[in-house]
Amino acid sequence: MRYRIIFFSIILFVSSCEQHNVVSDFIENRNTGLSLYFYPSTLRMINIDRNEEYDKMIRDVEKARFFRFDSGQFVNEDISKLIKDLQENGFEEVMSVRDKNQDIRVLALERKMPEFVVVSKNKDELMLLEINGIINVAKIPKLTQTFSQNGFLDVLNLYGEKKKK
Amino acid sequence: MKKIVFVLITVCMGFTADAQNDVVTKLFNDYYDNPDFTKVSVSSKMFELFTNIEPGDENEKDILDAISKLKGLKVVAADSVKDAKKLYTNAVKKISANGYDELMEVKDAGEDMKFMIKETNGIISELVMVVGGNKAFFILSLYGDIDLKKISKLSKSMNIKGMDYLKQLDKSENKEGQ
Repeated sequence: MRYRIIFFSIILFVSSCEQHNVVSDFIENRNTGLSLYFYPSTLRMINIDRNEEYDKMIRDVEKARFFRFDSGQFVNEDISKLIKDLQENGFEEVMSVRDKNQDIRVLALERKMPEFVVVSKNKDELMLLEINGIINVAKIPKLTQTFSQNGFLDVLNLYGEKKKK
Repeated sequence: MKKIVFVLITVCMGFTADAQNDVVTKLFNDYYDNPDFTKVSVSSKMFELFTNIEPGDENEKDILDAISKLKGLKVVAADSVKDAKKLYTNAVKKISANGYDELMEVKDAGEDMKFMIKETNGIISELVMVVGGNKAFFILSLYGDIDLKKISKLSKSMNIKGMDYLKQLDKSENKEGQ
């Protein structure tokens, strides 16, 4: 009897530890136009310039996955369901960006190593970015300075055209 | 009885907290379905998630400090709308009428800019920035525990267009210091 209780306790513990991954379920039956998987080693590998700040910024990222789907692979209801499923799994919407061409929603799961899912949709495609871990935002200024000095970065655009100085 | 008083106080506090951002939320909602406007909303949870990051130096400590005290951010922006100046005037009028104090105004040939704050007992709980140009219109609302010096520093270090307007806060800080 005691062994049976221990056995069931172990089964229960293992199944509670098993992470139900909503993003994996979403991609399972769809053709992805592009799939990219990043691990700490690959994240460091793309840092061709060996930028120290970049390495520090991604230090706490365990894994990142990126998927792009063409418009034939999803309908709006699928995205609503994806977001609903994420919310049912403890994710909370922490950011949204909406304009005429793009609808971006960022959902996060708070835990020791947080998880982020970025859902970005426009009329032609859907992009999903899943990040396990956290990006050190305090490193962004130094990184953007380096990038902008080298003319690489112009993506953080909240407002129109840059004024001519 | 004590329990009822406690519940009433909690409910009132909840309403007060909601009212703080009411006018900007209303403006935000007005433009929500208009495709000409970009809407950005960041919740307190997003800022909370960055509180456990270890700063590498003093500058990073200031950035994380400023971020961790924020409770939310809302932006409404458009770079090509008719009557941008009129939208600016209306927004400023509505915000001013809701108990916000003017912190600073910048006017030039191209655009007008106004910074307004909600302050209680010397603590700034909301900073609103409104910009109106010939075709451009921009509202940014930052709420939480706002330290103007740190926000100005943050905007200087972050290369985010729109946020660069906040660099102007340095001038208002200097004025206050004199």
